[in-house]
Amino acid sequence: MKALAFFLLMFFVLSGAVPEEPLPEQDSTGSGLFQILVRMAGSEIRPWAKPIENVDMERMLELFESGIITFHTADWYAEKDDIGE
Amino acid sequence: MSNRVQCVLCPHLCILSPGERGRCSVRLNVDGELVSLVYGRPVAVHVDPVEKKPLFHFLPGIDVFSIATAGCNLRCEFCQNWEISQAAPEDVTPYDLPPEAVVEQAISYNCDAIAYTYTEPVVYFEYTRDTAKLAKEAGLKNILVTAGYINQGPLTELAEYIDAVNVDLKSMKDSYYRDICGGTLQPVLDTITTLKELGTWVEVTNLIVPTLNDDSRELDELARWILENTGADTPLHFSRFFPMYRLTDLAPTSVSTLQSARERALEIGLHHVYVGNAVTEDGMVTACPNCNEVLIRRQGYLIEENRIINGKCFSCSSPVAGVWNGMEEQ
Repeated sequence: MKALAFFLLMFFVLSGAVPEEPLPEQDSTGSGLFQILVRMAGSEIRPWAKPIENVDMERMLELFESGIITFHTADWYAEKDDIGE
Repeated sequence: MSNRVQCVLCPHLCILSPGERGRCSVRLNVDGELVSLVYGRPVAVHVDPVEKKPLFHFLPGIDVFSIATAGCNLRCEFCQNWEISQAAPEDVTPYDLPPEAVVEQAISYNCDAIAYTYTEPVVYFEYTRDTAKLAKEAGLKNILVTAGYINQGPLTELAEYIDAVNVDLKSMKDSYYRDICGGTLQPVLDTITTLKELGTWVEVTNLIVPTLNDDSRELDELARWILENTGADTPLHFSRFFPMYRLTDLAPTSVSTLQSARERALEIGLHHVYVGNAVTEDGMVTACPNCNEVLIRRQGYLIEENRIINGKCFSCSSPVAGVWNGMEEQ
């Protein structure tokens, strides 16, 4: 049994098949500081936090028009994406 | 251009595409602009005694106009206000109360201060800041009751208008913050030390949850951290857990655990350690750290007796840390 476990371990190591979470800088998608921040803050590496969620914008506009919610500018502490500019 | 926006208000640093809202659920990317969904839309509005925040060394006995919007950037499984903190703003009917109206109402109810509390004032930062600024101009004090999960820039800006803060330090373990609260520890510690450095009056609360953070070594570590980083005069409140939200299978914290934590924190060197949400003999008593005379005796949130005179012990005249009626901060 031990020999089998050792064989399987060596197989995974030598074949590079051991699962390993890639470091952010090893991810080749995208470039620039914003991409780094995207990866740092992405939901996939914060599974313990509440998720970022999509909203139904039509409904949000209705709620805004009815006064239930506001669209008050909150850009003082916001960084904008300038990719593609 | 992708119109993505990164909210840098709190350590989550949410990056939002148009139509996405952050982990707090109240900050949304609308066509490349970050907006607050809850500005001037509180869902809880009450008048509370300052002792309820809890703040025991800040103008004892004053009434505080207390507001909260929906939303929180944490997801604590024991949250006492989860119906509003974990709700999306569209799920709770709000009041229409812009900053000017908050200040007007606070004055009309004879309150001496406004508290941003119940949920998490960090996530309604703009509303808190603008209201606090107006309140200060009107001669009112501002109180923040927060988990302290905020970045240093906005914290420093907000602190300019804030007189007193109760920070909920939930644990000294990062794993507890991640697993139970959906956050991390270090930003909270940074918030406490920064506020202290900025001269804001700070008290700390720790909710002791059975089996999760009630280990005596961890509680001692928390007391030692406060002692070493903010000084012996920072009041510490050990608060009793009651089954709530996602932790309904746990028993309430035993009173003996609370009392024991308090006694050890006092032995470690803190001057003012309290027990909240439980009836104990001396857990809500303020004593002089020099002569040990009883200075303030409380019954629930009511002041039964206050023998601090001009910020000093009535008996030995030693200064008592805090912000006392008619006195500057000691």
